[in-house]
Amino acid sequence: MASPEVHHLFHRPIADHSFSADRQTLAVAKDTTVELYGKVGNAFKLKDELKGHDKTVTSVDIAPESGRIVTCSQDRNALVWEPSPTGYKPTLVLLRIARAATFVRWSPSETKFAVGSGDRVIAICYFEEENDWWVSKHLKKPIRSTITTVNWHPNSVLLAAGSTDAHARVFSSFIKGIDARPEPSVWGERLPFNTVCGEYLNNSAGWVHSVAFSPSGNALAFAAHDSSITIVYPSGPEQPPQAVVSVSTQLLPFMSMIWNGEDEIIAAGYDCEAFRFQGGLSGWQLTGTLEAKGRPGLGDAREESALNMFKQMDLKGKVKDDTQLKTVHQNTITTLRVYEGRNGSVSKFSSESHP
Amino acid sequence: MSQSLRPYLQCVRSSVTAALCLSNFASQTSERHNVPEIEAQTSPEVLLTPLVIARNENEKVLIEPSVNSVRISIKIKQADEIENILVHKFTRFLTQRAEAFFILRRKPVKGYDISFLITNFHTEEMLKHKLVDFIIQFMEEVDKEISEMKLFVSLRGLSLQMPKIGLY
Amino acid sequence: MCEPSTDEVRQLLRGGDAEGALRGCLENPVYNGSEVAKDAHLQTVIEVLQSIKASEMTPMLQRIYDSEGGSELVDVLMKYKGMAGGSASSGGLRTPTRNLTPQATGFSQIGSRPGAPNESTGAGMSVLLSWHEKVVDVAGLGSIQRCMTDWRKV
Repeated sequence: MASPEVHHLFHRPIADHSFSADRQTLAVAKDTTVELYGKVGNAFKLKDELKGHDKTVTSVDIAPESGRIVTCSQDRNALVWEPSPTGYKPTLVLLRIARAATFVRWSPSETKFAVGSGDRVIAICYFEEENDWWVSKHLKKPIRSTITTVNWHPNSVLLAAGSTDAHARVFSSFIKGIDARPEPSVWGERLPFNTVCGEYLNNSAGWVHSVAFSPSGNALAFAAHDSSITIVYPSGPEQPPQAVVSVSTQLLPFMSMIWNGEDEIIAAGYDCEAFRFQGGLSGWQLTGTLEAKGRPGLGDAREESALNMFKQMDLKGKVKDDTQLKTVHQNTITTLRVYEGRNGSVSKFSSESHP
Repeated sequence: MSQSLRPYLQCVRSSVTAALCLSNFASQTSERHNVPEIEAQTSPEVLLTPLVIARNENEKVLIEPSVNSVRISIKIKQADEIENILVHKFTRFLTQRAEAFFILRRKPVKGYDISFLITNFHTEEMLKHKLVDFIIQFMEEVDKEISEMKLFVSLRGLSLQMPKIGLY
Repeated sequence: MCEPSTDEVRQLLRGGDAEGALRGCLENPVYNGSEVAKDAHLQTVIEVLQSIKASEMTPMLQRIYDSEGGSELVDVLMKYKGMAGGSASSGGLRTPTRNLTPQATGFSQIGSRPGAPNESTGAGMSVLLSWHEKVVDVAGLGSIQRCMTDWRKV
């Protein structure tokens, strides 16, 4: 286990963060701006500020290939920041929503992005060449509440979304002329726009905080406010899923999760550290924490001294990127991101928390 | 401190810790607003089941959680009328200085003596476990404070009967 | 949902099988019954809880928790303890949402409730509070979390 790199950027809440493909740039949402940090030696130095929103920025995502940054905010807008020699140039996206934008992610193809909102819609945004403008199409049915999170299927057509009405749903966001016709999968064969491919309810009606497709896209995990994670294995269109495995934990709810291969999930949230779940079709279980903290019965207590060291550092919450896992957060972890990984397996991930 | 106080405070501590899982959440009902949902009460789905923890009829805590805010109301022990008055004065003293306390609500919830309102901005700016500690410490201290004041009042009454020392 | 087998539970209790009795209660929570049925069931639960010795609490909870489907039973228990206080204080409270009585964890105002056994409130309360503590020890803060999110009320 290598120790985490800890970067304390500032003493303000961080809503979201994203690394560029080369890991040299880190974008962090701070209040109404997005700050860009460049890696200088072992430290991250502030190099640019993206100012364009007038309310809290809720989410930020850097497209790995194009380097475009998309941000969204509670001011109901999303901006696409185009890198240019003279700095980033913002373009306003026509979201047509009347409530806060809550979450934004590029599709793996980078031709679209999805914006979750408090307006009971998900805006699927794409670039319209003839108008030279980012336009959006709304996923509406059957959403009746705030979208808290979205996650893309590897095929860039299917989109999972979690909302405060305790549902995790899988939609098709197929847009003619932008997307290639997707291969048939367990989620369905014909997938016109706004097809609902799956709809799952959390047992005890907790808000869904995080959704994530497995690397293959054939399973969906979601975490809810009742401290559980649920993994769904669909079997085919219009059929009941092969398995729905739900793990109710003894912990506080999880805010974010990432898959590590098909049989491991790393989740973190209000407990201020990352936990590992392992399992498969037949069942899942919590196997321990990623920190060397050694809770009784969880994880290993071997690296006790390291723990003490971190404790003494008494860090008041940090943005950090993290090599094989040892967490130092002092407050809720809001986002986990894959930092380094290949073929769906994660060797490094980053997490962030409030100060 | 009586024996049953510990499990009571322990219970409050764990419940408050669980309730303080807040996130930044913009209003579903009014455009470009971000308000404590527990106060607004406009979107039922973002409110959770309120909890009441009571040690007895006169000492209880009401915890009302929601997606971005928690309201914690405390009913302080009042055994007699003097304590009644003291609690009233004491809480009034505090609430008049609510700005200094950040999480103090200016008006207690009906049926309780003092209320705290903790929002996601508080949990983001401050350490969550310290906030919990603060609430618990407050509950520990307040009883002590009231009994001490009661003692003072009695002494004062006594001293007033003796005009020589009775001025202050 | 059928009426829980209160008589069976009582019988187990009389036979000295407190764990069986507790399980019996928790396996048949009254979710959609009338208020009267819920109250009756609640009384039984409290009776069972009070019959269990302090030293027995944790091991018993742990056994239940570790058994198949046990974590759900413990979650149900958390709700019951809630109920004990909740309905009693609902009179003075404006209940915000979900059309339910405020739920307390670990508390009882049994004495003030009509029809409930009129024992010393102090004793009853501390029993429930210490049960609450034990449940949190075993099932973690997650169980409180579920108690708050769940719309199924006992």
